[in-house]
Amino acid sequence: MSRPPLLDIRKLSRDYASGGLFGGKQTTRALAELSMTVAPGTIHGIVGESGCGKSTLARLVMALDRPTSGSVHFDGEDLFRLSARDLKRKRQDFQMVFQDPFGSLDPRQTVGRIVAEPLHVLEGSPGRGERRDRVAAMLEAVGLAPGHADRYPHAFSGGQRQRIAIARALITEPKLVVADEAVSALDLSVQAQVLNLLMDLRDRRGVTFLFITHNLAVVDAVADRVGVMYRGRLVESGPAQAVFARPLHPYTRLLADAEPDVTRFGRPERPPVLVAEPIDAEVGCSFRNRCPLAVARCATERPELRSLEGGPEMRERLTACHRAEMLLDPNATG
Amino acid sequence: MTPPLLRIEDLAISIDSAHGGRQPILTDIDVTLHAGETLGIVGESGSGKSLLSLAVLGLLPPVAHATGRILLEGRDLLAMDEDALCTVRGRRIGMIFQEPLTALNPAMTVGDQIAEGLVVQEGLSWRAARREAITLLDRVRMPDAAQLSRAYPHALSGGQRQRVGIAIALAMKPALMIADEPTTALDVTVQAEVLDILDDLTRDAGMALILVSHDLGVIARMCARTLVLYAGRRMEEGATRDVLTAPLNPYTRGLLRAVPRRQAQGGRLSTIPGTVPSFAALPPGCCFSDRCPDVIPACHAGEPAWTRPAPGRGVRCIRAPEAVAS
Repeated sequence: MSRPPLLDIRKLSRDYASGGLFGGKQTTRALAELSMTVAPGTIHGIVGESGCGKSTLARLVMALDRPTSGSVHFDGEDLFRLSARDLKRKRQDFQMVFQDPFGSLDPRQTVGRIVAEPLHVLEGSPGRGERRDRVAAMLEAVGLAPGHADRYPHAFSGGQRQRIAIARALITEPKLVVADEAVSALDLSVQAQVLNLLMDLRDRRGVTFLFITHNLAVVDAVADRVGVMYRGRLVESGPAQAVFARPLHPYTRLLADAEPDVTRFGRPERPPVLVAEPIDAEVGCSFRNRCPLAVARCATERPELRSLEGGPEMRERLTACHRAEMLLDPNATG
Repeated sequence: MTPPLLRIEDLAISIDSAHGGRQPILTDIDVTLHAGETLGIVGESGSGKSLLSLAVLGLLPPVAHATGRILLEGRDLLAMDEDALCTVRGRRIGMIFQEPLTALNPAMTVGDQIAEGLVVQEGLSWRAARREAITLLDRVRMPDAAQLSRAYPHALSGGQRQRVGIAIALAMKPALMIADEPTTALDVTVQAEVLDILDDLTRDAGMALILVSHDLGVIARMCARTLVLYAGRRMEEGATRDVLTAPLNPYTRGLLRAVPRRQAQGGRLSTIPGTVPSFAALPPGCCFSDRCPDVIPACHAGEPAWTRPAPGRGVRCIRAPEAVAS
């Protein structure tokens, strides 16, 4: 339990400038003072809808972008204070798997070259023989055959391509893999294979995953812990099982209710889902215009992440809602 | 008994292959749909589900060759010339596509895109058609319809674009709507809203809906009946609740088990081994036999016939009688 976190994100913010060609420049806050930690050897899910900042978070954790303020400590080191050279060396410890297994593999390179490519950035990059051995071992680890190294990506199905992308991410034996919608484009039968692979890699090799998706069921199936994001902020976090069994934020509950389920037939008996325009959240809670529990206080005072009273069940759980206690009472409905 | 709105009989589609010859894709497709009915078509990539919806729309590419009949209100679409098809398309059949951004014209306001069909097909004036477009945008629950009708697609969110796509398809008051993965690109809350809109249209306007999706949850939510396709063949058909709670085909069972859900500590998701075969490399006998957990030697002997174990229920599997009995 007391192992230091592999990833320690502190008050991370990222503003993007928009407009400016005509009229005034505006800044959009894609990420707002987000703090979280990820323990080694776990799958940490991040869920949220488009525009919630989850991909911005992925880019910052991968050091592909710099924050406006805040820090990302990886394995004890502040990524944005490292020299360019040190950062490059550090990159072998964190890798990324992208959403589209068709766009992320160079069609003119053999699978062997694609998977071996990250090895070239290593200091004292291994020789040709060792490279080939490591590629073969890695292809086997993700459920492909060593002989596949000589083929080109077009010869593989979507699920196989995503395995190739995972093999490429793992070839430097990274401690952290950031997977941004890594299974969203896959067919159901193949998606389950790839999700099992991620759990195997966590259990056998101790790989840590930051698993970003909009699909709650997928996170529920594989993640140890989960963070729910809304408009650049973390609104709820905790053990995945507990969060989905009993959400402590009305937004998490809205997501869970909206997700289609193979055991629910016909139109659900729920009030129509509110899809409201985003509101300016300089003050107050940014979810208040969609929230069935909102009161006057939500418009004036921003809810910060906090824990609730309630014994061991509430341990390790955080919610950013003034009225989260309402969700604990089974008789209170929103 | 009113005649069905759509009757697909013994449809087969093959495609010219690069090496000469023709590659069969869809075989032995049979579908009946009445007004106001909802049919879900489930299938993974490579199942032929998109080719089937293109065939119903009369949009098959020149390399595709169809045999059999597709009867819409008694008229065979496969026997029609392009001019006649053009009237059917749009006026009787509407289509909603998966990716609403590529389906819209970026250089035209959304109001004009909705109005265009009304001007061309119905002979409305642009002024009247634009007014109608605003009404349609209102109907798909677009806030501020009048103002948004003058916006260009790039200014809209994904959910708003998909609602524009629905409004375009609705403008002609089609009797049949085909929606090919209409919510796959959308967030869950926006998806729920778009599904509610489609649901209202089938209830209130008596529109029939064919919804093509790989998401079994969406099918359960939307469709009274479900057809499961694999490798261009019907594997199973029936009332959605029956198909998803008491599946008769091992492929349907495999799909249902692969739906992601929480596992016991250290547990793993159930999978279907292997991958969907290409049409040129199907196993002998049953097309699912190389991945099927319940395979027996007889499965390789020949393609199983389509059987009807109960009224309204169909399955292609020689072991289905055992599943029915259990």
